[in-house]
Amino acid sequence: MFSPANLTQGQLYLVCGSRRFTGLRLRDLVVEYALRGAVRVLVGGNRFSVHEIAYALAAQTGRYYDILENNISLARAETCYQMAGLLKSTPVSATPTLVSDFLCPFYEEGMAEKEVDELLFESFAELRRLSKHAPLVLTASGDEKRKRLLHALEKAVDVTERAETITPASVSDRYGAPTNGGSMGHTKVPFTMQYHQERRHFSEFRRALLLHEDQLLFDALWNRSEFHIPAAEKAAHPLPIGTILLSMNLEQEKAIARLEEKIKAQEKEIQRLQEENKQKDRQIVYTNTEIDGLQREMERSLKQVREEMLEMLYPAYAT
Amino acid sequence: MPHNLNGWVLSVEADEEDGVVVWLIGEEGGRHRLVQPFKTVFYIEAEPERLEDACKFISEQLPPCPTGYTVRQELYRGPLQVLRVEAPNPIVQQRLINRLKEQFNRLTYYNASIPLSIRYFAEKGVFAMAYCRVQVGGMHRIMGIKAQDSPWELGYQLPPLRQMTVEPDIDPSHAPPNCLRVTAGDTEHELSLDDKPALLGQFQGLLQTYDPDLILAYWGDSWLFPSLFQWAQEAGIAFNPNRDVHKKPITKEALTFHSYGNIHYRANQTHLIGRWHIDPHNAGMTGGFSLQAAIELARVTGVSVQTAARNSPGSGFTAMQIQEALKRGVLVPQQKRQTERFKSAMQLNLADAGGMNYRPLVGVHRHVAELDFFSMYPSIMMTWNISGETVGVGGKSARHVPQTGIPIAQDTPGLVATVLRPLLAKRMRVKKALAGMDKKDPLYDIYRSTADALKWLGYVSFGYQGFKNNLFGNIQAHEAITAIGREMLVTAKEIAFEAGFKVLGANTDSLFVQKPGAVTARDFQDLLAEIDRRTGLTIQLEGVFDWLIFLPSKLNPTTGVSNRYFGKFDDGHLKVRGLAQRRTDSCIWIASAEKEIMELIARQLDFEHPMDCVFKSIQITRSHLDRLYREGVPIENLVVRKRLTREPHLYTGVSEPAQAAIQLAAVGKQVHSGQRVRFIYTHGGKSKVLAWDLPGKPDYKAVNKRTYAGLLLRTVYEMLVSFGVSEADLLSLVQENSRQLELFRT
Repeated sequence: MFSPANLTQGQLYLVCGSRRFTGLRLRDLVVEYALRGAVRVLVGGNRFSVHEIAYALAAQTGRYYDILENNISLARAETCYQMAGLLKSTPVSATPTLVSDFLCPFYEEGMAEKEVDELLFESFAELRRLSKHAPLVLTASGDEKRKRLLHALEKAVDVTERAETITPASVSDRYGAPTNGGSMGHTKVPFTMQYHQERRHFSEFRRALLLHEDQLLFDALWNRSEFHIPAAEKAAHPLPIGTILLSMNLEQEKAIARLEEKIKAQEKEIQRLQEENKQKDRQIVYTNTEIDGLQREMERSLKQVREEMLEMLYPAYAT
Repeated sequence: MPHNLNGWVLSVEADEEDGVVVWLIGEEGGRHRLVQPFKTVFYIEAEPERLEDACKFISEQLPPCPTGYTVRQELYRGPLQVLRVEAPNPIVQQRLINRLKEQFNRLTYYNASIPLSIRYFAEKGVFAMAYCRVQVGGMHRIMGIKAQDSPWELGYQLPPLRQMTVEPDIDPSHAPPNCLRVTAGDTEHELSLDDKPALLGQFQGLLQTYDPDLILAYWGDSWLFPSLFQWAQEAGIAFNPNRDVHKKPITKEALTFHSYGNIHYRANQTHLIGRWHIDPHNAGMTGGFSLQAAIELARVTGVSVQTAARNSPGSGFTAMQIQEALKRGVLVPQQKRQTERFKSAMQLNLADAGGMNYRPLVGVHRHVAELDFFSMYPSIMMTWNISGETVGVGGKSARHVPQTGIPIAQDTPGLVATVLRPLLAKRMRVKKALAGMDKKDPLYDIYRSTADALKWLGYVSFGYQGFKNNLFGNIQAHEAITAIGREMLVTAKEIAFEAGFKVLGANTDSLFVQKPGAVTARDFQDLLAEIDRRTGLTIQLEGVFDWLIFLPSKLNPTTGVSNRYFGKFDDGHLKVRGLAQRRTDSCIWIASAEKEIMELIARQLDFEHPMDCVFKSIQITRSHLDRLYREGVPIENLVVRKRLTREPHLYTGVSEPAQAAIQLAAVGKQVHSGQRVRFIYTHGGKSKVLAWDLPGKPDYKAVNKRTYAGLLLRTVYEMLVSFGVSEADLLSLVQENSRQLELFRT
């Protein structure tokens, strides 16, 4: 299995197998080289899994951001003319070079076979030139219509690593398989797709939750965070799950703020009611005092009336 | 005797003897075949030894093509030593290039495959349908030609075209037609298809009698002309619909291609010489064919009208870039070889994204203004000088792409930015003219078509930057445009916040804002001015909605979808996006029911009593359902059209269009990836759809009314959900005095 420790300059190395296998191997080689220093990647199939590389780097170092910015450089070629042109214009350097999905541009439909072959052999010469001072690894997969191209490439390189010679366990798949590039011509997976991919990664967690109501809350958490996908796309943090968790926090914060507002409003209402009660209590006390006064007044009046009646009935009483 | 002739350029064709043939519609009404010698030049680049060999080979060819070494500018690489080859005419050039390709490997050609119309128009300063003054010598030879109008004029004059319309009595993809209806001038002819030789004679006769400039033939590309040629061959009859009968019509093969995330199919094409053939069903225009828009596209881009009517505006934009390159003396490559400059993985992560589409706030909103950036992406390209060759290049006054910091050179005008300048200015002029124009004005439709054509060109000018085969494009330029676009939208949102507005939604180049007390256009003017000032782009008020409803996402009802909404502007007109009446796959019955309900809401919605409107909507729904169950809805109105996203045999599942395509294939009708297939929903069996274009008319009994009822109820629910109507409410309201329906079952 290729690794920076066993690859040398002056040799052409080929990783050959399915798109999934070559994608995983390319990712691992990019990560291993990038952790040691600079690496350059010539992207052939419009597929470069920035997020998976970022996850793999972050699992090993806190410097992942810096490494993505300074150690990994890349350029893309979509057609076989562009691949030939890119190889030609790339200077020889001591930096290891990886060429991903090298044959993809040569499989384009509508190209004359003679022209494809010419450009492929033109590219072989350039690959040899670039491998002079640093290791050069290519990844490639076969194609039903142009099988001859992979055969030619296998003959042109010095060492080949094939999918069948590697046990699946030795190919690291801890960070999710690289996808076949983005949609609508994008090279990396757009955030919306990445969001759904991350959600799928947690589907087993959801399934295993004990309570059904927890599953519903789990769904709500993800659903609400979707609102922030455009902002996440703009920020383009290399570790999408971080942005997703932040979006969930934001939505929870929003819910907390809403509840706090409700509580505050209710507290205010309680306070108002308490105030109203106090007012009423005071009113009651006042009224009671009034009643007492009136009662006393009444009693006095009664006493007076009684005395007056006694005087009238018993004039001797007064004396 | 030399004389002057005024008229319009109808078409330009290559000719081995004469160089080019220019067909002119004279001011006096004549149709003129004029000729002009026309030498063409191409260039070859290779290692010196190989170039020497190529030079020697060319010198041995006949007719002689003079060669010489020269230095020419390559857009990305700068000055290049190349071999200049001059051919006496375009046909000889093509033949020579074919021989060179057979003989030599690894030669790089420049200016070798430029379409003749573009080359001729660029060299002579004329364009399709240009009003020209031509000096004509003996043998109809052009001594000089000069355009008297400009492609950037708004109110240009066009000649009265002689048009012949041809239409079969039945859609040929549905059933074999019985006759052709031919209209020329005020006369109508019906040509029977029973006797093919007689038909060919009659058709050729009509062409001779009316000598049309334009044959507008429905299904002309996909059926009429291929059939006519086949019948002529079978009958051994010479048939030629060209005006120049010494040449054969040009045929191009059918094509399936991807554009903006969709797959499209373009039928094979028949281009005529000396006159135009246009098939409105094979037009590449969004929103239906318009002759005026095709002419406008041809005038401003330099492609022929027959090409402009069929191809996507992308080819027109490429033509504009080629013309600009020719003017600058920049080499035009045959294939794009340049790639992006190296960037860091982090820069890719930041740059590789599209426009921002915020999820809007779901529900009913009052007094909302829609603010739109005028041609946002083309404007960014122009104001930031974005072009393939300027992005990634520094310089004293370089500007930098937000977030990635990639430089954009400002010292020399970029090729794309230069092409866009007059285009945007014209679009702005036509938009202003339309705003103050009465819809009944005879110029209104002409200006509308012009505006549409320029809008399409604006769209593709951006999209083409990322297209892998765009000769001058560069993915870095494409990414820079979207990055700046995202930054401008966020800046506009921040400005709105600062001014106290609430942003309810924003979508790539437009924002929906609201503020208590802001109800008329005047209340938003200060905000517009501030966004203009701080972004450097023009933003316009699309209108103020009296009310606007953002619909929830079907998959996640807690959030909205940026392109699904409807609302009423304060002038009373409705704006609808993403609903059945706007979707091409909706059947007429559903779309018209939705429209009826929406118009009712627009007329009668009272925010004090919104449920009144809901109940009336339910009544309309019931009446439509009753008509369906009574079989009163014409069966044609139930036909659904869906696009095949791959060849029928490549489908693994049981998609509805694939089922219909397989049924059609069984009766010998082939449909291909990118084509739309028509079908109706039917009962039971393995397939629940029936292809509409199978022979015979389907029985109404086969129609699955329950499926259609479900589709209608889903459509109605989407409109009413914002008024608090639940699925259960809707179902119970519709079910009253009605039959049981299983809502949302399909």
